[in-house]
Amino acid sequence: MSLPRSIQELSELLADQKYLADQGLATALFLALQMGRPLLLEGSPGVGKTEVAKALAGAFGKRLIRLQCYEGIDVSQALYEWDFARQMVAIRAAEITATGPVSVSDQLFSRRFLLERPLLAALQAGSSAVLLIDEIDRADDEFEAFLLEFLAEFQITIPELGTVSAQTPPVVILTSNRTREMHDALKRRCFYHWIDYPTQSREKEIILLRAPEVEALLAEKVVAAVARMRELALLKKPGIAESIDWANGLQRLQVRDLKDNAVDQTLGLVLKERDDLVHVLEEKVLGG
Amino acid sequence: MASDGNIGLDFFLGFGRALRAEGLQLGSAEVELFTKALAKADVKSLRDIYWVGRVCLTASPEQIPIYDRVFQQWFQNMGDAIFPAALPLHQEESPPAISQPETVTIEVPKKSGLTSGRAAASGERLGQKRSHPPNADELSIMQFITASLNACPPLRRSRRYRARGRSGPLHLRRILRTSYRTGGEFFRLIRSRRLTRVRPLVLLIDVSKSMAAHSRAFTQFGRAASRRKGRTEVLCFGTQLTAVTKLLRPGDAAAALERTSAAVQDWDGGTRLSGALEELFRSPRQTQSVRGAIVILLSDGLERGSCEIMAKNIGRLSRLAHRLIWINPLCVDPLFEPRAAAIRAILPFVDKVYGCQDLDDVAGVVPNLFTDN
Repeated sequence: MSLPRSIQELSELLADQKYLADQGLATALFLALQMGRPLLLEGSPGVGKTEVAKALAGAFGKRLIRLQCYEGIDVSQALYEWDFARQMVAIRAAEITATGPVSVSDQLFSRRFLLERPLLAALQAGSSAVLLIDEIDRADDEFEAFLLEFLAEFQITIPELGTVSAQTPPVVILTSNRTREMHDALKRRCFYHWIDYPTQSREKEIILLRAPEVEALLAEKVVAAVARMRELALLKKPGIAESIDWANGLQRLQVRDLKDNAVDQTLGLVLKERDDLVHVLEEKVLGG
Repeated sequence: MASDGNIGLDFFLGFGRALRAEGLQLGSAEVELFTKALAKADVKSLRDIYWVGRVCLTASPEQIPIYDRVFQQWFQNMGDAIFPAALPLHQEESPPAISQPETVTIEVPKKSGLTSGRAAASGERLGQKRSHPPNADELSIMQFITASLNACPPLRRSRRYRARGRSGPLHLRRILRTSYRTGGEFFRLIRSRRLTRVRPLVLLIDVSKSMAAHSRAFTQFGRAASRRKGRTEVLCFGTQLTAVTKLLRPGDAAAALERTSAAVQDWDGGTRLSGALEELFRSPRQTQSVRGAIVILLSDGLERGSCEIMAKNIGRLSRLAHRLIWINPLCVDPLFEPRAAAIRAILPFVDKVYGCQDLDDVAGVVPNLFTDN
């Protein structure tokens, strides 16, 4: 599928994938697609950073390749690794059939024995893939430096095989929860967008889109309560995913009013810290 | 808009310069990108320009208010001349700079030095301190502390593997490679081992009145610790929390300590450990820096306020941290008994308590800090 012609068109395509992007995000995505630059998305947990990549892949029929970062991630988990076990078996097999040593070593370091990891897979797939580098703030500095090189050139060198480069670069989306500051050099190579919590009306639309069985009135109440919760000094503020879960849960329990006592039992869907739960009950956010 | 040439390139370059003047780090590459993006995005309204500019020119949420302000100034002056009167600006979710100009003009009172930007709560006693440069003895002790923190750092196991271990999984890559020497025959199974990494270290230094006699030594300890290898965070707290790592670490010791004492606004005020911790937990970044770290609390623990809340916050700190070590100047006295309620509230959550009054004492405990249990 070809690139969208306007920001408006892109927003509509994403809405078809049940993702409502505001103008800022749509602009950022549009430019990232048009200019072939990575997009760095930052924002609190649960504002839909990862979902963007999924929706984008869905909208353009691209393959989503996801690299989840964690502390200690290294090249063999992100890029490629030789399949040593199969290589050993191949050596044994070659001994039995008495193939010459030269042809064996040629075979051993061929694509057949290469385990593709997400970054290499994305290079091979080129523009038919969306590469999601998730939670980059969790990876360590060395890995970030390595990514920098990767994102600048869109090529890697495998010593035994040669250089692999993308014919057309994949769409790259990086997300960060901002637990750590990214290096300026990495930011400079990316477009940057900070995703904020949506407005109440927008959040209601999102709930109704994602969980169609929820009644509009209930969604409205949930959204208002969640907005009040976000104003409190909570350890972990509820994200959009939490409000969707909560609305869904309440609907299934047939609870229509947040003043209902049954609501207290469902707070675990929105608040994932005990201290926050106590705090919210004390503040009587639910109006009960 | 960008194509019809009403606004020249110079106008946008000027906008970039204005942002740079406000402290955004923008190279010509970013501004060039911005102008290219404007052409691509086919902007029709001020709102479009706003978003394109924000995507291209900002790099962190802190920069967004600055961007909003400059954008408003820059495009307000020029706005009427260029754009037709009816601009579709007042839509839902329109950028704050344009829809509600009065809320965006953020008048940050100019305070000297670094503050968290949070307004001081009433009753807070703010004070600054002149630091005397460290003498030769102190300098050499600080060097000793840095060296000894590096000599036996707190370690944790990493997820990465290396060859030549004893009991780990087989290291296939190495086995295969050594087998080339013996014609593809495997003579020895090589196992792998886990690498170790230096654990992060977080220092919480109390700079309140009751600690006045020790805060100089403890700040010097902070300087020494900030120079070690591995992630280190030094935070000073009295009535508010100030992150000082970036001030303490670089350059000459005397200058670093001077910078720090200028930046900390609440020398010799009251203690609010509990409040400081709450402030720390409010910032996801600082919370993350505590996670899995060795936290050293340098305080006498003399604090008024609710012990329950104190216990709650210290409890959370100790659950986040790998180890919580308390260096308390009062504990030097062998007859010291924890009688103050706050101290008794803290103690159950602390892994180890040391008594230190000056830099010498600190240097004495540092070599065993991470090995004692």
